[in-house]
Amino acid sequence: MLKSITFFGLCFLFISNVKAQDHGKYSHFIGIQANPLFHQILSFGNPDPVSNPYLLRYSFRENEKDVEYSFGIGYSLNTEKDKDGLESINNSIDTRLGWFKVIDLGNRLELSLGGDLIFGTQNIRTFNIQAFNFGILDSTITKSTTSNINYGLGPRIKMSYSFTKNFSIGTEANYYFRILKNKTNVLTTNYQGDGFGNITTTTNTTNAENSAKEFQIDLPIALFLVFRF
Amino acid sequence: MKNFLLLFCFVFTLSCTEKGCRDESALNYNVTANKDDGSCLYCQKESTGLGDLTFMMKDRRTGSIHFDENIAKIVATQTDESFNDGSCGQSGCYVALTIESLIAEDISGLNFTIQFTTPTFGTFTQYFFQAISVKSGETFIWPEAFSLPTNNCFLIANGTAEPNLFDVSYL
Repeated sequence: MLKSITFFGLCFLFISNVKAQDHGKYSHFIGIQANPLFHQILSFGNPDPVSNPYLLRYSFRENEKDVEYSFGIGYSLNTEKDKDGLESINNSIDTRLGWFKVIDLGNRLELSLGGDLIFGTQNIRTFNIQAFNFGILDSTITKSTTSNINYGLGPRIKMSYSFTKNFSIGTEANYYFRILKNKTNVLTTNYQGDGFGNITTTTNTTNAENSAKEFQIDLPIALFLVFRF
Repeated sequence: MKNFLLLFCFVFTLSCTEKGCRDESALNYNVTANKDDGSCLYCQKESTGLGDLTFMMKDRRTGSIHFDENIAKIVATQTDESFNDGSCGQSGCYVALTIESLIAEDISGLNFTIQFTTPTFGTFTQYFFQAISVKSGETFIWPEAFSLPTNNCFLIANGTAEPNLFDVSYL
């Protein structure tokens, strides 16, 4: 029932009349990546993996010049804990700042061409305790931290279809050049008893750094619901 | 546009803070840290002198040009050394030897044992096999201190030491 209502609602939006020129000197847009929502409503089978990390985007448009400034951000947090005592926290944040020229392709359709500066970080922490105390203490605590930073730039093309004056759906494709920097630290602390009540603490640290460059293309799979005000 | 940049910088700053030890010489240096939190650990060694024992080494080899002479004076210095972390070194009692030549010739190719006897531990024999050279009238520090075969520091200063010379060359 819900799916039917939603379907008819979408059809109504498609056939309603839109006048994009009704806006004032400036417009603001807030867009949210809506692939999981569409998947829930329309049940198209298994969802395609969306590599676009920018879940939320905000744009500011100068309507007279058809120029748009865009900011996008995405944040993810994933925590896990398994039965062996391994805990991991993985959080990442991706941001981008872009400039676009907007081209009208009719009453409802518009195309934006431009580029972005991108910056993202990822932080992965793991924590593990292995404790043995069968007469003689021998326990090890391992902490690891991985820090990834990426930054770069590249062109982006956006296309949007306006259902109403304030509501549209859009997708985008980009081709970003990224510099990736990775740092990893593993700190191991071992507590060893000697059977005479003395405990020796031994600290071991391993550090690694590396960097890479890549070109990545994101196909127009991500769909954004955009509200204009 | 200004607000855009401010927001971007704020996110940039917020997402880059990782606390940890930033000193590369520390035991727990963390390459991912960009803010030092004062957690750096460094090797610390505590050394306590436990006294020393002086004794003579006699050449008892028949046919030697210094037969039945004291050819060297040995000072065994005992210290109790403890490290705050196992990666800095092994905590325990160590004995360092200094050998002073008492004869006119240089001594080389020393090969000997020392039997330490203490009232609390009994006897313990330490072997020294190294082709070292002790110059005439000078003091030589044995390259490696040795530890005693127990977790308890028994004091050699309260006991005796009996060297047994197997081989030596006089130059």
